[in-house]
Formats: sequence, C-alpha cells, structure tokens
Amino acid sequence: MTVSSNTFSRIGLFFMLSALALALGIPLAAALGHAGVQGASHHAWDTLLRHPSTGTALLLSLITSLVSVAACVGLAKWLVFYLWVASGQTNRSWQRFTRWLPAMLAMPHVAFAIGIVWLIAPSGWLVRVVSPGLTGWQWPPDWPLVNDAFGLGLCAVLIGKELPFLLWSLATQLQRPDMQQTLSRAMTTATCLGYSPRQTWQRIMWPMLLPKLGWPLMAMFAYGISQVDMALVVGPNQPPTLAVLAWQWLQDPDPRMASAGIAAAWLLSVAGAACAFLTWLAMRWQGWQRLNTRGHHNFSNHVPTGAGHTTHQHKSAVAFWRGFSGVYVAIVLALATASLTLYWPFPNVWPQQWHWGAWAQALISSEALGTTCSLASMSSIAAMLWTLAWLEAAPPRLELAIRPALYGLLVLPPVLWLSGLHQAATVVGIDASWVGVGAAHTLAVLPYTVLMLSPAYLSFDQRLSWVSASLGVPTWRYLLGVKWPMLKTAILNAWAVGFAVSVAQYLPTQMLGAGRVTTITTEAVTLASGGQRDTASAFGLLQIVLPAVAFGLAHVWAKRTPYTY
Amino acid sequence: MRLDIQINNLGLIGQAPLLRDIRLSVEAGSVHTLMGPSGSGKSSLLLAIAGQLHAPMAYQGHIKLDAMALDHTPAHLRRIGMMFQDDLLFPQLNVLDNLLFGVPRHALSNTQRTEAAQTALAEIEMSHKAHSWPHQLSGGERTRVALMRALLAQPKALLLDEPFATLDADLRQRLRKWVFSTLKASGVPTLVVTHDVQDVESSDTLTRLLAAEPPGTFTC
Repeated sequence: MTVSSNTFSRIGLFFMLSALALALGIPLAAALGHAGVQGASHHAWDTLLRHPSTGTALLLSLITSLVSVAACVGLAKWLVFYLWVASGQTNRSWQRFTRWLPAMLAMPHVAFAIGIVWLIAPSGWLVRVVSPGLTGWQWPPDWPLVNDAFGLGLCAVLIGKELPFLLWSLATQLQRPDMQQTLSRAMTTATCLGYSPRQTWQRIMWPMLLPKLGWPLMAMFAYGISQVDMALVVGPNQPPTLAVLAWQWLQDPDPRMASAGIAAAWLLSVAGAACAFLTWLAMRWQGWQRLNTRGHHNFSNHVPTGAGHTTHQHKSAVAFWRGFSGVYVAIVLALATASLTLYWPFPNVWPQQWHWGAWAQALISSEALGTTCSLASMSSIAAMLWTLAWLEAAPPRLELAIRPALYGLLVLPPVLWLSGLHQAATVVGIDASWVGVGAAHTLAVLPYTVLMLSPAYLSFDQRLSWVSASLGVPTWRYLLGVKWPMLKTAILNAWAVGFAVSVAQYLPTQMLGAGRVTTITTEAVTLASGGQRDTASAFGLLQIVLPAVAFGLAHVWAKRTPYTY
Repeated sequence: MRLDIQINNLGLIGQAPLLRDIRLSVEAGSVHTLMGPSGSGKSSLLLAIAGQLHAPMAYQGHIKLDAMALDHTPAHLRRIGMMFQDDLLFPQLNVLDNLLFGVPRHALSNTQRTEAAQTALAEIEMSHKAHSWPHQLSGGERTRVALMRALLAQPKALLLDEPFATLDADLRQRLRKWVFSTLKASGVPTLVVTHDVQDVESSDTLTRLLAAEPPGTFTC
C-alpha cells in the first residue's frame, strides 16, 4: 500500500484547520459557556430585575444607541446625496470626503470622547471662545452638557464617532463597479420616467443601498448599546447605561451582584438582538417599496427645485462636512493644549501657564506605554497570522461558516463574553496577567483583521497559483514570493487596523487584567473620569499617536516594493 | 406634418470631436433607426437627447421636441423615455410596482394608477406575474415589462438603445414585431439605435452614421 504526498498534505491541512478552529473556538466556547451558566441563574435575574436602576439604564442604552444610529443614517443619506449623487458621482468634494474617513476612523473612541468633553464642557473651549464677549459669562455656566442624565452628550459623541464608520461602509459600496453601474442606470431610468435626482435617490437608489448596510448598522447599534469606555467619560451616571452598570456589578465582590452583571449583559444582548430583528423586518417589509411607488408626483406636477436650490444644498453639505472634520482637528488641538496646561482660568481662550508635567508623567509611566505597545504588537501579529493561515487554508464554505462566530464578537456586548473569558482565564491561571489580557486583545482584534483582509485575499486571482504550480514552485515559495508580496498593502493595513484596535481596548484590559495590567487607554479613562484634564489629554493623544505610527509604518513598508493589490 | 423629434446641426464632443452636423427628425408614430460603427457615438447621441450626457461629453446644436428646444430642460422634465439592452427593472420592486413607478402621479388616484398598471399587465399577458420579482422573469418578459413601464410614463418620445441585443433570434423577432407595432399605435416618435438589419427593415426610416473628417468623427 502506498500513501501519496497528497494524502499527507490533506492530513496536514486537516490538523492545521482544526488547530485554527480550536484556537478561536475554545476561548469563545469557554467565554459564552460560562456566561450562559451564570446567566441561567434565577437569582441573577431576580437581582437584576429588582434593582431600581435597571429599567432606566436599559432605556438609556437603547435610546442613545437608536438615536445615534438613526441620526447617522439620516446624515449619511443627506451627505451622500449632495456630495456624490447630485454632483456627478466623481467630483472633488467626494474624493476629499472619502480621503479623510480612514483618519477619522483611526481616532480611538476614548480619545475622541475626552477631546469632545474638553470642547463642549461648560468650561470647554467652545464656551471660552464666545465668553464673555457674546455671553457675558465670567464663570462657566451650570449646564449639564457632559454626563447629562438624558445621555445627550453620549449621543453626540456616538454620532461623531459612528458617522465616519457608516460613511466608510457606504463609500465601500459605492466604489464597487457593479454597484456604481447599477445606481447610475437606476438614475438614468428613473429620470427618464420623470423623477428628479432627489426623488430617485429617495425612492430607488437608497432602498437599493440600505440592505447592503445591514451588518455595519447592526455593528453600530451593538457598539452603541454595549460600549463602556465612552459612557464612563461622557455618559450619564445617575444611573449610567446598562453596559456600565453591568461592568460595575461584575467588579462587585458580592457574587450575587456579579451574577446580576452577567444577567444584565444577557439582557443587553437580547434587547440588541430584538432591535436588530425589528430593524431587519422593517427593512425587508415590502410596504416601504410600495410607498415608493405611490405618493408624490413625477412629471408635470413635480415642482423643479432648480439648480440654485441644489447648489445651495450642496454648499450646505460641504460646509457641514468641513465643520464635522473640523471637530476632529479641534479635538486633537484641544487634547494637545489641555495636555500642556498648568493654569487655565475661565474665560481665557488660551492657558495662562504651560508645563510639560503631564507628558513627563505619561512618558515616565513607561509601564503603561510599554504594555500597550507590547500587547498591541503581539495581538495584532497573532491575529494576522491566524487570519492569513485561515484564509489560505480554509475552504470557502468553512470560511463562511465561521464568519458568524467572528461577527458575534463584534455584535455581542463585550461585557458578556469577557466575563466568561475572565472565568476561563482564572481556571487556566492566566487571569490578572499580560498573557490573559493579550489573549482577550487577540480575540477582540481578530474580527477586524479578517474583515479588513478577506476582500483582497478572497478576490486574489487564483490562476496565479495554478501557473506557479505548473512551474513546479512549492506552495510556501509561491506564498512568500508571489501572493503575500502582492497582497502586502492589504496585509499591512489589516495589521495596522489590528494594532489600533488593540490600543483602544478598555474592557478586555480591565476585566482580564483585574487592574494589574494598565495601558494608556485604561489610564486615559481613569484620569478623564477623575477630571485630570492635562494627564488624561496626554494619554488621549498617545492613543492617537500610537495607531498613527502603526499606519505610517504600514504605509512606508508597503511602498518599499512595487507590489500592490 | 409635425416633426416630433428634431435635431439640427448637432455636434458631440468628448475628449475629441465625435459627431458633427447631425440632422435628424422622427415623426410622431414612426420608428426611426440609427446605425453606425461601434464607438461612433450612437448611444451618446441618445443620452444627449434624453439630457443624460455627463462630462466630459457635451453637445453643440439644438434638440427639439414638439418644436420646443430641450437644451436647457432638466432630464426628468423632458418626458423622454429610454430603454436599454438591459431592461433595468428595479430589483427591489415587483412587476406591478415597477409598472406603478412609471405611471404619472398627477390627476390619477392610487386606485386609478393601479388599474392602469394592471391593464398594462393584461395587455402584455402577464397579469399572473404581477407580484413576481424581476429576477424571476424571462428575458422576453423583462423586456415587455420595461417597455410597458416606459409607455405608462406617457413619454413624448422614446429612445431605444439596442433593446433586443441580449435576446435569442426567435424571441427577438417576436418581440420586435410586438414592440414596434405597440410603439406605432401609441403615436410616440421612437429612435432606435441598432446593429441589427432586421430592426432597420421593420422600422420606418433610417439614418446611418458615416466616417467623416477629421478621422475619428462621424456624420450622417
């Protein structure tokens, strides 16, 4: 009996795929299994439902998340129409518009929230600019602009951070040649049937695009409902959102409260799933489409809006976008200024005394900086290696089958799966350690690296491997010499995104590190919650600088060879 | 006799001049075919008439419909219907809703509009497919729905860009007969861009685009 080399390679592939699946599956199963067991406790739910803050906290979570997603959808629809549809689809405004999106996406949520607080707080920069000249204020007004009970500040921050994500998702769709052709033809056809460009966008093009945004919208909603770090900085606190409440209960030494924390995380998951399901049903309801074929007039009864109106609206959209981008620039400036401030009395626009103390403290705190860099490097490289191995080895059907598990990490409240992971880490003996936190970061980074890399990887021209094999080149040489160099830009960008995601992690570090592992993000949140403006700003800026360095390195390295894909 | 579509001294310019001195007229209730080599600017001419020509393409000269100059009229107010070789039915609307989308909304209630769409469906013998989705239709059925949608919009003129090119020979012949007779009966002036000699034989009049000077430009 002979055993062919093909048999060996199949056995090797099987073991490799099994190892990869287990590396993802074991921690996930342990995390969700433990959370499931804890969440099934009658006492946990009893404690949760009897707690006086539960109802308000859940309502706050749902409303802030729904309002921010709805506002983002409305703004994105308006912006894309005037910057893309109404102005010829390939204009300079659109190119400038999309060019800044990655930079906005790269800004960590915590840094954004801290910067916004320094801008919009009663003693913030915006109030100082107009005081006392326009307001007559010599003292900061007693307005609850930050940490307000209704979560308005949190909504504003969520909109500011989620709008670029939705626009980026839309831009990705609009860059697809097939989608461009479909939309362009829809515009031609509907215009010939008497519909204005705005009516066509409203009735035909937007309904075509909206179903493609299902996953991004769900991810936005899930993030809004379950995020903790931004809510700690800018959200309400009497009571806080349910995710924050769950996180606080999980830290409680009383086991009943810890169980209630897990039950609260499950409640968030169920509420999120219910809202997502209702949204999905609403999007699929054919009644929307029927409404689009009835109602307003086309042809002779249509009142033309005229070129002047469109130009005015286009200018409004451009002005809004410039203002919105300006907020990001202002945040960086506010963080930089606040980090150097020693004495800044109200209503002075600029500080009276400057110092380097906050930066000295941030840099002297080399443990946090070093831990952040080491965790981000390890987790992004580990996630990247897993992603490369998986995309290369897994058959398409298996690859698709495992996607829900990966997306689950994005849409499930982190407080849920992290509590289970923490218990699993305790059993293995890696809790409160760098290794445990690294494992949690890797799991958090993994969905992003897969999402970033898979489009380029899966659309790679497979015929090159056939040519390579026909020339007698072994697989490893083809990968190292042909495929991966050609995919270098995509691989490096995915790595940089992974690095940035790891730098921004708050809950995984706090829960798995049990307070013994500190990063610049945990320091920034702690200091911002404590109102230490200068040091929190220094850490916030470091949060921006580290991913920027990673993206810069990726860019420089990708340029070193002529291969791009 | 009234000339419904009239084009005088039209020139089409892209990166370089493409068409020059185009003179063409299409009478009400007639089907006029336009033939020419690939890349001669036939489809761009249709887009210019429909007001859909986008930069870097532009035209000089005059396009008139019912003796009214269209040069400064927005595309959606020209009332010129268009059909392409791809039927361009909206995939998220069922057959009835695709037809309803074309029915003018002024002076008709929703019930009347639905009746008009259903009558149109009966005319093309597709009443049983009112709630089918475009992807569930055959090529011929999609073409019939697309033409009926264009006609339901009560256009003043219709432009067809190789409407039967994707159909097989047998279906093409049957549909051509039905489409051309429907168009003639509707009284709408129709301009058809085609490479198919049989389209020309079934039409009333023909314009050929021929190579002109300087090289790369065409005229009729």
